[in-house]
Amino acid sequence: MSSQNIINNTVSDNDFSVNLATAGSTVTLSSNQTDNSSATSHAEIRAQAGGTSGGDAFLRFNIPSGQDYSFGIDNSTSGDPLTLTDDADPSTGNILMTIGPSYGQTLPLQCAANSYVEPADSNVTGDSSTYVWGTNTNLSSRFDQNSDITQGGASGWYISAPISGMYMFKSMVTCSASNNSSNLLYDILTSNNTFRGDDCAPNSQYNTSSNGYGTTVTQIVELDAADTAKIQYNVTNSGGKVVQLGGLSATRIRNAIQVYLVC
Amino acid sequence: MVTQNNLNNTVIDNDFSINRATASTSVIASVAHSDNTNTSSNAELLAENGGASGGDAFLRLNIPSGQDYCIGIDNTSSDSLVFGDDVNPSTGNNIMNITSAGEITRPLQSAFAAYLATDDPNVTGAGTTARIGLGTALTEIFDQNSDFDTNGTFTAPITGKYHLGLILCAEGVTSAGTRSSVTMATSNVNYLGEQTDFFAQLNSNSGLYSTCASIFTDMDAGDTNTNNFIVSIMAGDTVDIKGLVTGKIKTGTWGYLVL
Repeated sequence: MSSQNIINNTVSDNDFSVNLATAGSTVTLSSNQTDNSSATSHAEIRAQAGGTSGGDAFLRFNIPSGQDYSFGIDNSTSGDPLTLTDDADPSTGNILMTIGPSYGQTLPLQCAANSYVEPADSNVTGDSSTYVWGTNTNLSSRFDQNSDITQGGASGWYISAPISGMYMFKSMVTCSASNNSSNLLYDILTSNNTFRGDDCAPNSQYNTSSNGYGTTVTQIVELDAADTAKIQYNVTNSGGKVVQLGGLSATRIRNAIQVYLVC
Repeated sequence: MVTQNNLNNTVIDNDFSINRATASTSVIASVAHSDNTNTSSNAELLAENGGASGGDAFLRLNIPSGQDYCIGIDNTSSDSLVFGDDVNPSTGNNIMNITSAGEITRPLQSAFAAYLATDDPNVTGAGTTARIGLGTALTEIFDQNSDFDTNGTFTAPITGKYHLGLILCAEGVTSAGTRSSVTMATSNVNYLGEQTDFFAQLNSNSGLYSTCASIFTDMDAGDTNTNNFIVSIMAGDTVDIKGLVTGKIKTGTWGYLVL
């Protein structure tokens, strides 16, 4: 072994690298323990920083001129979270996953959104017409982690899936003028399926103070990358196109769509 | 230069360490492949133990006098890939566990479910706000990470996005009780989970009314969530929130940190 600065299997005050140029072979830095008789005969690879005022301790994966990932302890953040980033060390770049403090795990770039109706979206149905949320009035965003939401426009509110996966899709809807409305249909429309979340008679169960009927719908949906999902509803016999999607009421959100990528 | 046990680039029956003390520099043990023509030209960092009866194979990350993390195979527990907070995967707290079949669990992730075991009587009807769990304490089914108290308050342990929900059952409404609502309150924003004509929705056999609601919302560390139920117009607060009915959970709350 060509050894420089190696004394008693310790490289002092220097780096150490294992390099290979042979095509089709793997270059390996390994830690092997051949004993197979004791459960404490571990094989360990360790990264250790100098202390709490030092740098990070981490593992880095790198494709030159390509992708970097770093996985380790971000020593400069309170609680010493275990952090996965897309840069050369855990303290820089975008955080993909963090564990801690208190071991809570968050995914700061995972698709997740909460949109709600802030100003009322008036006169959208009630005459059996079908209304896609956000067509007339954009929804407001509480958060749109990963920027996958179009809040409104000609196609209405919709999510465009950033990746194929299973998404939790839920919404809360309040139907106004329910005292006169004989039927409500409420659908989650995805590129692959339509889910009927509610099919009811609001005029038999409305709140007599607000003349409103409210419910929530939760559904896990399968979306391929670039698939879309949106909400539509249709109310009948309300005495014309008089039903609105109510906005904030006493600072409470009444109509909202919430979605996140589960797996 | 003195080398001990180094033979053909292999250190036999010994450890090997790379150390540095110079401030503002990194100490690096690297494995690099310079070939860029063949997709089998991998760069691999390998930890390999002696076999099924041996120890663990893992990567350890350590801040002296600070935090320890390890990621590796817990050879004593069905060969799961374990993220732990100690010096090896077999000790300390298991933060995340990936089985060899690919199932992922996070045993310390904030998650709770609780139910009302006995009725919370006469809590609303004349417009009084009834907080679920305040009059009659809830019973925990589980409270992973201990963020929930039985009076119905969930406190976020970390800033993130949470999925929170409830089921609710009530009885004792009179024909005047045509206004009811469920509000899921958080420190950042309140959500109107349902509003309805309570009386019109009664089950004619049981005389009970049931509903459910859930939200996906943002919470900062220390923010709280509680859930409120209001029935109005009745002459008095004679509506009960129901506990167990023939052993079935009728009222409860749940939640978990999603991301």
